Amino acid sequence: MTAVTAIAYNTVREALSRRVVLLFLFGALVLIILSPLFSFLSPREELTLLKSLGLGVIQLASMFICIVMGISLIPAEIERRTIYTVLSKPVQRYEFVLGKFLGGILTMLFNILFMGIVFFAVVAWRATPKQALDLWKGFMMIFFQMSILVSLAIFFSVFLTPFVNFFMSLGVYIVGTLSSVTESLMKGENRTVIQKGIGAVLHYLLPQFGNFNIQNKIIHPETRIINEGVYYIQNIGYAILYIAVLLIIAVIIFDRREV
Amino acid sequence: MRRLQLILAVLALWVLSAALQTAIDPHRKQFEPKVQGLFGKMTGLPTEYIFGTMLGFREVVAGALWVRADSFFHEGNYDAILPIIRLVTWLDPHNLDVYSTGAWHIGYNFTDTEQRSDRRYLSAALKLLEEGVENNPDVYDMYFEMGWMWYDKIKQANNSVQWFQKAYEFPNRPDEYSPGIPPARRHMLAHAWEKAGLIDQALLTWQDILQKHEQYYQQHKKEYMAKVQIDVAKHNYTLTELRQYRRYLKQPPDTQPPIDVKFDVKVRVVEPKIIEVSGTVDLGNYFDEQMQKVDFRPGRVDVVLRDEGYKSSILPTDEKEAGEVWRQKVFTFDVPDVTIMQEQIAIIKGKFKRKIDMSKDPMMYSFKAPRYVVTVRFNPLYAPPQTQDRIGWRGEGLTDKRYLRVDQVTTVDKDGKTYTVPVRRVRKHLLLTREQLLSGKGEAVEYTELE
Repeated sequence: MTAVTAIAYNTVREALSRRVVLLFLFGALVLIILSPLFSFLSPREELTLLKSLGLGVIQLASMFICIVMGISLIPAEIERRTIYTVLSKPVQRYEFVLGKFLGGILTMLFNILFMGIVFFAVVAWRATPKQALDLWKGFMMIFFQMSILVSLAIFFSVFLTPFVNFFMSLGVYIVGTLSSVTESLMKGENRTVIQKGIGAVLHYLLPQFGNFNIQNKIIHPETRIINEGVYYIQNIGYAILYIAVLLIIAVIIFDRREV
Repeated sequence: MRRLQLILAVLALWVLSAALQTAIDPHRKQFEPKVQGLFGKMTGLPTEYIFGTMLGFREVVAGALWVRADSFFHEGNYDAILPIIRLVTWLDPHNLDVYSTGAWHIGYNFTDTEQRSDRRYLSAALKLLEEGVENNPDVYDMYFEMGWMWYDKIKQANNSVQWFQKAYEFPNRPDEYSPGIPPARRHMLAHAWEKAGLIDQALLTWQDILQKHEQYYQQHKKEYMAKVQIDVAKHNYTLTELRQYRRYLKQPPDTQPPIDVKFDVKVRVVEPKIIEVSGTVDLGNYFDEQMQKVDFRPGRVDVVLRDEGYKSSILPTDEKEAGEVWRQKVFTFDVPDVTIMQEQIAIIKGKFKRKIDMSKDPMMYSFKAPRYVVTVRFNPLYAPPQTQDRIGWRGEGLTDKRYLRVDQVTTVDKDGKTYTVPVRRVRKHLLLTREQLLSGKGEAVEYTELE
């Protein structure tokens, strides 16, 4: 086992034993299971609501799990001083950051899969298994969206306190979901140069979480999307690039930090 | 040195991600609502809804709002539903049920105390469906709903044909969750052709429907509805063909010679804002004794009262210059401040009579104009089949010494091809003044300027 995988393994083990993470997971599962309560609507309306609520719950729960987990992945090690033990061994700091990140996204993967399987079963039960098949695209995009969020929380955690990090990560996530707003600010005809500049900075500098919100297509499978596959590949590429940017900066800062 | 390399790598990766973002932007719009300034339009909503939308949970917020609208509907709080319909279609422009239920609600459920629809809202219902079509061109639903609104609510089947044709083009829907048209809904196209007075097109459509149903049955032999549909389509085809033979082809046809319906109408103001419409469409005596015994009703007359000079092609007034004053450029719930009352009165033994009370709904009937035109007509295209057996689909077997009007009814199909048929109707326009309506006294005089 390499240093990175060992750190990742321990991170997953620790994260899954944290009550707050399990609490979000449990809450999300309860909501997903209760979602067929909309059976008073027509079958199609019920399915629309079921899918939108289920995907929304998974995304929201994942977001909170990500932030709550991500903000403490490195600071907790520093606070407990276990980081000294780790770094005293032949482990590079970048390996430590990378291990923490991998552990974080594996935890997310586990959570999304767990909620996803339950949700898949609920949709297959209320509608048809064919209707449920489309959900995997949504789970995949939520996973990549959350991977960026984990890397963002890790990035902030190397120079911010967990309390400040929580609000910073949440704030960047919210602004990042407003991709269309920042884009229109940047490209709008009636904008001043300053407004356009702010729009461009927000649009290109901050991670665009809005790219990954593809729920509408899953909720309404009849919608025709041009080059759907290309869009997903582009977004996965974007996620990988952006994660790399955040992790490299985190490593640069963490390298210079005295622990 | 290593640090510098890392910084350069960050810059390179960031430039790449920005380039990728530029490529992603145009595609992302396909997954988003096409509404500018959505957040500004959400003013007044509870904070959690706005917050949810900001977090990217548009569909969840739309779903929650729609459930709320459903509860408002059951409480009878119709006014509260309107802004919700608008918001939900903004948040989730692919939510078909909101468009179809919303348009039905706007078009049908705003009524006066005697359950007459407020026709001023039809413009909003049609505009909402138009938006639904624009945002969902790849499903049959919105085309069908638009067709239905023209066919059933506005009762202009000629304008419904092109929409039903577009819905008809979709493949069969195997279950309620899949896209495509439910096979039985194809029948509406044939019915629309028939009610537009184009019988040959109706017969051709029934033939095509039969073929499609039979193909469907071969693939779904266990579905009893697949067989039932074949039987219904066969029955309708045969019946239409038989009726065509009896009404037009055999010699002499059942529709000849034309019967004089001795059409006439009287409109009296009996109390303030209450009118009594009465008159004659003498069809009753031409049916056999059995029909007379079961209190046979040969149809209804349409009655419309509106401000003088308000010409709208979606009212059953058949005015030659009636324009598209009803058409909204941008969707709005604001209705024009005009008085429009539309009603149907059943013909019983050749006569019709009804008191129409407009006194209880001042919002709907504001009576601000100085003069009002009342139009009463009998339209063979929407008459029951037993009446059409005598007068024909297009009124060939109907005549009147004073009020016979021969209108050219045009149907434009989905490819822009036009079909025009003459339709013989009886129609009379009358004039009432505001003073008469408010004083509760007076009788309408004939108004000849519209013919």
